[in-house]
Amino acid sequence: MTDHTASRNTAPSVYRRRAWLSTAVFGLAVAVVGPLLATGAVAAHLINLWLIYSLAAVGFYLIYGVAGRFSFCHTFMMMLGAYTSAWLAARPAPTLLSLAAAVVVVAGVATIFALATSRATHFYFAIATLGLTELGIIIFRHWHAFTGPDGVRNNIDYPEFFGVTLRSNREIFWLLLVVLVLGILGVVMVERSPMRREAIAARDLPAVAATAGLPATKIQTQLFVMGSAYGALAGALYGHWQGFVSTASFGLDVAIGIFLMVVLGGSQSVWGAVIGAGFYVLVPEILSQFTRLQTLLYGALLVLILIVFPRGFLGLASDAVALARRAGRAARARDAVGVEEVRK
Amino acid sequence: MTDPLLSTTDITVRFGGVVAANAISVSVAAGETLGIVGPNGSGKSTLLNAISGLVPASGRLFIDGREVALGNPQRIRRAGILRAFQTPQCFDALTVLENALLTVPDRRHNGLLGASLLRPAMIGRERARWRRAMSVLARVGLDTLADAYGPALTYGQRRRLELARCLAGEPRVMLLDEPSAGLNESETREFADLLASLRSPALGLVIVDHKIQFLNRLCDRIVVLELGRVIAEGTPSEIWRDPRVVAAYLGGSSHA
Repeated sequence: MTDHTASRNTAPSVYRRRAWLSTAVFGLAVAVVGPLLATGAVAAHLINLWLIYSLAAVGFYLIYGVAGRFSFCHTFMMMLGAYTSAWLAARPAPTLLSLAAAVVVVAGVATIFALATSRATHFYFAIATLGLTELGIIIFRHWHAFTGPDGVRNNIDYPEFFGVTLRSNREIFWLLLVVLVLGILGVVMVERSPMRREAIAARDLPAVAATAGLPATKIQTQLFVMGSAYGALAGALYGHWQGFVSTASFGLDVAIGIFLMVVLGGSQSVWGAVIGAGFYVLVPEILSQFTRLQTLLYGALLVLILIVFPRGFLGLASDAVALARRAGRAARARDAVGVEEVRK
Repeated sequence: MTDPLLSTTDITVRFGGVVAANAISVSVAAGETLGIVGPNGSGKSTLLNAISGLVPASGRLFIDGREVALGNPQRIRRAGILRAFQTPQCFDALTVLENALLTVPDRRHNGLLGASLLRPAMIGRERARWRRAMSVLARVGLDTLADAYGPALTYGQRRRLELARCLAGEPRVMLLDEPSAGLNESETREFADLLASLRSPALGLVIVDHKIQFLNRLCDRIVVLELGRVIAEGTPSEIWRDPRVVAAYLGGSSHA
């Protein structure tokens, strides 16, 4: 018994997944395929938008998927990040510093907000986050010195690193891809640590987690702040890429969109967020050829997907894999029985 | 006996106008197994919930003679009290091993810093935690299912997993709420064997249950509750001869 336990790998299965490798393969695949697909201005724009939304959704995956917090202030964090970075870049300051400042400011605001609302559970927290977003929009529209006239800031500098300015969609693509891959690596680090299991425990059975001694508030706050920082980076990058940002850039449609990305893709894995973001960017574009029916078709498609794949695209994929494995096992069992019978 | 390992004085729990636990004082010595019985609604589970901090309660709780504030599950757990629930509460989105890992006392580098900058230190601690959790799983017979998820387990295995989650926390006192509920006769016997094998001079065990054979086999002492009050206390053989217990436990007819 002891030999058996000593010889087997004692790491939990999540540590044995090839997550670093998957992330590297993903990065390489996008690096190869992305530029090939970016044949025109529209395609290049959509690919970049996908990368930015993926980054935001990966952050939201930490908040909603892992920590289980219903948050509607992710777009607020994106806006705050975008305005902070844009304001600092106009001082002028190097892009790297502007981006870092956006992350730090948003992390600070998110920490204060999370601690202030730490006793609010489920929908109370959701309502508080909705309030923060509304409040933020009002402040951004009126605080002209920070945001710009009516909350519209124009002429944000292109991202510039060590004397190299990234202007075109194709150039900015590389920046966005590197940041997204680093962001996913950050999530992989969290998932290959005790944080994941403790966050899931506090999310699923809070009372039992408390009797196990887990500090739910601390874990959820850390994940909320980290996820919000991803949102800040996504918003800031959006501003530098598009050259402008306004309160309409990340409106209610994007707030719901972020939820959709994580839920449609599958909230049980970080890859769900990336897949969901792809769906969110691509499908309305495809449906736009049905001009008048576009909204109707899109809505019907969403309803259909959530009925057919309640656990998102990834849930469907893992169900399919499980089904195939079970079929394989059944076949092997049948073969084994066949062999026995032959022997008899 | 010397200072009890765990003792409560006048634990009272009210739900609106209902007094679910009325000034209950119990104690458990190190190495002792205490049984708690009583009809449905007598306050057994309420008492365990109060001791583990899950319901607001008045009264006092002492561990090793030191007072621990009621109503704070985390602090109570840190004082060494771990518990299992009447319906096994397993985290179905986590593997069996991860379930057992949740309570391992060493929580250093468990946060964001450990996941990122202090990663080597965190992994070092994790390795020790994995070994500890695996050895506990081996003890309850779940080591071969370490990678399985909750839904794949039988009811009896879920009970064992809860027990493993308690044991991995290096408990000073374990509270088990109806551990034999939902188990058939042979499973109950096996579970009793397992609990008996866990006895150690340092560990206090509190078992709430309905099955008399099960309790008689395991318990040094039994406390009987009725309507939120302690009505009798003694060794198993004493208890079942007590006419008040017979009346309360068998539902009011004391002619037996």
